[in-house]
Amino acid sequence: MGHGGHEIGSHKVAHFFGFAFNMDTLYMTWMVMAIVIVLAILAVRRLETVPRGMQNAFEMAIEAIGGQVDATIGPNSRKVAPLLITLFVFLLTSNWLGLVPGFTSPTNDLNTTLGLALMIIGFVHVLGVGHHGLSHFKHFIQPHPLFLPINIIEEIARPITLSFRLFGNIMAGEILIILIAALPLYYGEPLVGVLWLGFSVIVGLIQAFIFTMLSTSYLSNSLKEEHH
Amino acid sequence: MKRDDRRQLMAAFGMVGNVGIGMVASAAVGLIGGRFIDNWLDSSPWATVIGTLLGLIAGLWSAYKRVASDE
Repeated sequence: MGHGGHEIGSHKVAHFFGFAFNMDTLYMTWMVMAIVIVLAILAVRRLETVPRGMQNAFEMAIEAIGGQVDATIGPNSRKVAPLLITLFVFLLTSNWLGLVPGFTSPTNDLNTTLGLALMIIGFVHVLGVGHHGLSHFKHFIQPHPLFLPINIIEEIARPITLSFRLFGNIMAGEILIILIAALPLYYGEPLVGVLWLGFSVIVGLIQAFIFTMLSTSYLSNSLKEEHH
Repeated sequence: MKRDDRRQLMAAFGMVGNVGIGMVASAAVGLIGGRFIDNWLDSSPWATVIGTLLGLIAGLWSAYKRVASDE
């Protein structure tokens, strides 16, 4: 149906070695990786003191996200800033790719967003143990050991909220694009389509930003000098 | 400082968006975890009830922590 010949919410599934792979998500993820790599190479090919073109765009993104990461994490931010800036650029490209007719966002697949969220939460604990040793896990029994089940539930809910928000927003945006295109033609239809596309561009930016910022705030807890 | 204002505004948007979905997700995790334990130990409905309550409390607790730490 419509947009890129995709049915809403369905994926082309291939089976290898007993695993199911959503091939369209994989293709689009590789495509996003290629786009990000090519853009990054273009950005650093001829570095100039006064940035122009691609270098300018990348410097803006690095300054905006890097500044926010610096403000949230503090002196240790250099350890994680490259990961978070890469995450932002990857998510932004993913979210916007789905707005190009014929393509879909890798982030409209829950597997992508949940994978990224689990990577962040795993990294939070690896970094926390690296930075604080085993006392990193003390925050599970704070402020009282009775809070252990509550804190565990909260910890499990974290990757779920992170991934479902991004997935839901991008998925809903793409479904609406298809639905608006499938409306019977009337005067306002192209206008509505264009308006919704414009809105989706902003949603894609905001969701990429929110995912990065929440990851930053989770990571900041493991890099803090003392746990709260 | 216009730039810092904008930064704080974006951070606040992120926080507000997270509070609502965080409460729902915590309750859902408690409910599903409780159902799982009930199926496992054949203790229906006690683990589901306790799990849902703990999930609701966890949602409130995470919202409180987030708001308190950002003040």
